[in-house]
Amino acid sequence: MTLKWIDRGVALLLGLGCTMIVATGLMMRGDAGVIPAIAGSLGIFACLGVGITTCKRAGDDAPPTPLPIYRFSIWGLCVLGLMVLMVSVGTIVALLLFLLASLRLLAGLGWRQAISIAVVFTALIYLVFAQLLGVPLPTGQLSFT
Amino acid sequence: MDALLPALGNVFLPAALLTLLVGTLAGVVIGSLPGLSSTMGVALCIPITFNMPPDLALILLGAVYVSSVYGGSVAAILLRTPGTDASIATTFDGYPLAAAGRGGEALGIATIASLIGGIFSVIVLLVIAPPLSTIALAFGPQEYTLLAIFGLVTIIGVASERPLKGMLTAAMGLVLACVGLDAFTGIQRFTFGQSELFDGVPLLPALIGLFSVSQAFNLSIPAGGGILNDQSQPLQGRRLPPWQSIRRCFRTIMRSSVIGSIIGILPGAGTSIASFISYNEARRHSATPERFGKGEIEGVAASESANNAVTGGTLIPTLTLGIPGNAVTAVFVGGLTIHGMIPGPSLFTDHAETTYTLILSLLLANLLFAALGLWLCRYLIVITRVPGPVLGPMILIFSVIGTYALRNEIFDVWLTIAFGVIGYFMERWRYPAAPLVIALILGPILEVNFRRSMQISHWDLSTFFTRPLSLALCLLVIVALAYPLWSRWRRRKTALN
Amino acid sequence: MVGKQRITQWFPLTAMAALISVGTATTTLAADYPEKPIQLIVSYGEGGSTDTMARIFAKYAEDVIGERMVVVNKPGAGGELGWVHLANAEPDGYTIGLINSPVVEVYPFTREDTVGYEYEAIRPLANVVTDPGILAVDADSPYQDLDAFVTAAQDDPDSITVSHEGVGGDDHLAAINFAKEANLDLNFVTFNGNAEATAALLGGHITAFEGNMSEAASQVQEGEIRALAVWSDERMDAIPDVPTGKEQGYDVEAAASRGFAVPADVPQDIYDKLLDVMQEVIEDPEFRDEMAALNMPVNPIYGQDYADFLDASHERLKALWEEDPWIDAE
Repeated sequence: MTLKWIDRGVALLLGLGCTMIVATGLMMRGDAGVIPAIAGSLGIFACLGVGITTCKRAGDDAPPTPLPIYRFSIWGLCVLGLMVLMVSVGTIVALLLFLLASLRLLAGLGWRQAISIAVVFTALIYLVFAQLLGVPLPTGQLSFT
Repeated sequence: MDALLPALGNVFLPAALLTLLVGTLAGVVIGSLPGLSSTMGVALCIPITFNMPPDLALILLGAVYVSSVYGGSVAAILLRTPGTDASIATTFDGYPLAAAGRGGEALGIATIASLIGGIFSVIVLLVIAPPLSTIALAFGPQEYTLLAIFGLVTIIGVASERPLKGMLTAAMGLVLACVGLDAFTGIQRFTFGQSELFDGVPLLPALIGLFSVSQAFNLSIPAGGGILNDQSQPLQGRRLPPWQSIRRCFRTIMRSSVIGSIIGILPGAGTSIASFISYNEARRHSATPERFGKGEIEGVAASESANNAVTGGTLIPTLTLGIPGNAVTAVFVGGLTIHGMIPGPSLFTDHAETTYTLILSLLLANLLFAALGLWLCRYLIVITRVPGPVLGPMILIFSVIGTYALRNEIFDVWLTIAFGVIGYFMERWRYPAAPLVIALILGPILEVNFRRSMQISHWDLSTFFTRPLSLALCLLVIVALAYPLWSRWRRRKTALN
Repeated sequence: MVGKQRITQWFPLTAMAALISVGTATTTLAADYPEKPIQLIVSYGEGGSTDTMARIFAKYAEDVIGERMVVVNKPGAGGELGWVHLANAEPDGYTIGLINSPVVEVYPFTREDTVGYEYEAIRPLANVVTDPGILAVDADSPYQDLDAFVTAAQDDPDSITVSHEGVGGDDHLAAINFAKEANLDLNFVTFNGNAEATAALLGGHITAFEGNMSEAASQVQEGEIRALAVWSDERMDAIPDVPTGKEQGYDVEAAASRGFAVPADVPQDIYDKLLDVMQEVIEDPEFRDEMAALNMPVNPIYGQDYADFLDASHERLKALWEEDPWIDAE
């Protein structure tokens, strides 16, 4: 898909969204809807502009740099795993596993290097945030905070 | 002023110097971690200050405040991960410089600019605080409305390469700024019944998502590479920035220091307006405005001197009137009252010694963070050599922890990640993120003050033109809007000749 | 090589699945409460009067209860956001909150369709401070007393603007109450907080300021602003020269009360323990002194009495709302 078509899709979607926002804004009680209506109209205007320029010029008509699907999904899984583990198990364990996984799989580090970086970094986070600064971290069952 | 000498003695007591050193170090570290802001730094220190004597407590809070604002520049320049809205404008030129291997130079100029801005505003605070506090009062809702518009003008410069896409993201930012419970009517707008959104889209999660998390994505996903465009290239500028670049930026630094100090005094404005306006003014006065956004050292200088000049400025209404100038000084006021010092004129009479101790310690804190910054510069830029997939996960971790710590709300962390994904694709599809964030920050200021003006004037729009100060601001906005058009027209004319 | 890649590919998933299954087991309540830090939800921002009170209270309460009390600010929606959290928090005693009357009992009917908590979902513990409302003007203002102000507002309603901090907030209610009593039609200007409203008053951008006594007392003492009336039963110690509304012939009483509450389902033994802690702190003379220095009038009401006090206010305001809603419905 080229950027041109992406732009058209974005303009169409956001344009529809903005129209709905203007409509809701106009129905709001008192002066609550004034700024939403203005912002929405601005959005519609910009969407029209973006849509029209895609027809006029071939400026952005190049495919975007291909998305590395494999690495993107690994990373996405790592981040999702971090979030889920953080609330279920606890921040410290989640951080350790997240770092280990992403350093192994994405940075391509060896086991020894990945483990040492992950452990040192997690320990640092624990010491600085939980102990020194007393920042509340999401806690789960196995959390040490 | 009689209290100045004993205050001077207080500052140089060993306990005070130690507190100052600890505070400055902590501030620089907190500020430079992606995802942590100066508000949080000061808020974190409040419980610690409970058991300290008032003057040491104030020294600690003050040192953390000024140095964390400076620390923000480190992350903004080297990683493009501003932890606070104050250093967003620093990323515009700081990060391209770092990517080109000139991170050391950018850090150096940021340090010098922060130092000058900070010292300037503290001197203003020390010498003419009481008369200047009247500026805080001269600004009514009408003036704040125009000030917000003045700040929004920056978007035009930032998005000049893709004006329509910039307008679109700015409109989205304005829409997001309307989310939440409306204080004027009590109704909900676009909250979808989500109670976490009643307060609006929380600013820092959006900001950290769009800048830091998307940067973590950018760094982690490609197989090779990192922050530097060209990994084999030597890192330049491992020392003080060259004299000629300091001299070149000097006018910008002074102008931004004045802008920062004045905007700092205004209680309803906030830090980021100062750096946006200063950045835009630097661009407008520059002979080479087209280089802004691609690694212009003056852009870094403008933003950094402005946001550090705000620190002294915000303390002026805080200390003289008891009206905190921004979120950080609001926390500061809490810290003061806990020690039985109610901010207001009595601070300069009943508690004069403590107050002057605070002001003098701010001067020292500025010198200290600058020395620390210049010394650390050469070590810090090595970060730009770290492989992206190693750096990315760490940035993500800081962002997640920083966002959670803001309101202890896991919803905010999910929001940050979502904004990160949006930011990642916006960048791939060439939609600029900065206009969205600027509109999200300034939108609420614009809206509440506009509606307040209308409540006062009974929906008479002429109220913006009949007050001398707001008329002056109107003219400034017109100049800022018309200038790019006029200069383009003039350039075309000279090109034709 | 292929095998190795497959393992590394599945590693995050399996690790995740394993840990999720561990994580979903539920925590059981410990008998010896408290055994971990207690969250104290403040529904307003850092540095405000509610926050300051909470932090000072937490300092004393930590010594009594023997655990850390973490003040968590959840500002937003005029306090509603924090109370939604309080009402929906795990009822294990590790989340307590500050509630601000009258707003906490008003939202459930003024925001009936959208409100995120039920009035019954929050169980009051103890009231600490009752901070009366005041109506103040700038020191340079021509209005010397309430009568002069009322006369001016009757003669030229458009020339008078009065600040409040959000529709349906306690300042707004106080101002409505006063307007009704004095038969006035006031023009309200909405502000986000005390700081901006005070700046606007001192700068002459608004005529009068409706706020809380504790937040304005120091400015009144300094002579920067002139309080026309304090909406309390008796004059306040912090500003003894300011007459009450009643003295001037306007039967208006309005105050913001700040106290503590827990989610309704907190076990009775934990509730009792917390109530004892409250009592010990509030009766501590040192705590009283600190409150007095901040111009915050301590007004202790404990347990069931506090609940009754809030219920009465709830009923009274609900009747007032049904008679004449202050947020005009669509």
